[in-house]
Amino acid sequence: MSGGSWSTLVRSLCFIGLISLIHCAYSAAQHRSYLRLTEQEFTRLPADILLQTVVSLVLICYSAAHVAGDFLPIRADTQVRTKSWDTVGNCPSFYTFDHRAKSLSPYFAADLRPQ
Amino acid sequence: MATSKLSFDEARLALRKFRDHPTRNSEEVVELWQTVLQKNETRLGEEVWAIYEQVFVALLDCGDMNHSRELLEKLYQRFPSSQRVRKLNALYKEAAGHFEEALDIYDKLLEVDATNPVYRKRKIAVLLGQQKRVEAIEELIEYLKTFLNDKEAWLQLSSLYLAELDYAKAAHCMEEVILSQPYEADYLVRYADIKYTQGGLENIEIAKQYFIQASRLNPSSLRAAYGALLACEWLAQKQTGQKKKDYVAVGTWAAERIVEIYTEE
Repeated sequence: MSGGSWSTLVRSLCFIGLISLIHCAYSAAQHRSYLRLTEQEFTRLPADILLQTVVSLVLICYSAAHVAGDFLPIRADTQVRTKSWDTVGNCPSFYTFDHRAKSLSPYFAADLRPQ
Repeated sequence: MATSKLSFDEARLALRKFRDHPTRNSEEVVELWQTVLQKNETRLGEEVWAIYEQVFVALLDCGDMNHSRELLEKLYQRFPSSQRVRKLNALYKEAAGHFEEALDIYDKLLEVDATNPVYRKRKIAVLLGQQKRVEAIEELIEYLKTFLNDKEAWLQLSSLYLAELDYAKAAHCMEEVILSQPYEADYLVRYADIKYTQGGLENIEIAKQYFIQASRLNPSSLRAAYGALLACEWLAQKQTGQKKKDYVAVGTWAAERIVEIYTEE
């Protein structure tokens, strides 16, 4: 089954299911007005209408899921990933200052005094 | 860096972004401060104190003790009895190399506020500044027994173990980091890198899984895709039959991923 014919089949199934459901609604309304005309009590819908409703519901659910396309995994991070390790791997609470800035900076020697 | 061409608002926003997502770009911060913001201090309003603190640390990082001293004086004037400013003073002492005095200050701060993790972490940083890595690791382990969910501390401990070439313990620390932030692809890549370095069939199998997950989370991560490719290559050589075909298939997927990343750029 190629992709194209499968999707048209599924779409037509969805359409048929919708029509069937609308037909059930119409039949149910018709049934109730019939009962009202013949002055009978309404206890439950006839079994065939119930069956048709359930079948068309299942049909719609299944075909709609296929019409919607493939399932995707739920992404926890949907933002654009532009952070580098410099940001993500940074530990600001543990900064130490024993690096070459002491040698490169012209301002460092000015403050040194014997400990 | 053309920071002098930035407008006042752009510079202020840039500093705010650096405060929210701290990167150690001290030269840039200092340049932004000196070329743009320092001339318009009054326009900053109450944000100026947070900026002072940020620039103070950046100046220390650049070895500029004089200007950082000036900022510290201003902060002391505004907040005379503040613990936070005293911590900055201790930071200054550390940068000047006066570690004993810095430790004194931290101990006194801990007497006042014994449960504050910041001072304990700075004491560990003092040990690191004195090149006492082994003692720092011991202290950090003690710290982590109390503060189990401090992701930054686990990350730091992982780096320290890597410097000591203790890959097993470094991997364990990265696991804790991943527990706290499971959707950060870079942490997965680093864990996979460590596992790949350890070597052996099990470790490289684990590395492959983590590289693939990282590549799924961040499709443009070249390191994740390349790591997956290397791991699959190694594993495919060791296996035969159906498993070999699986590894080759995954490796091919990883290679296509790499080509896509390079084509996108």
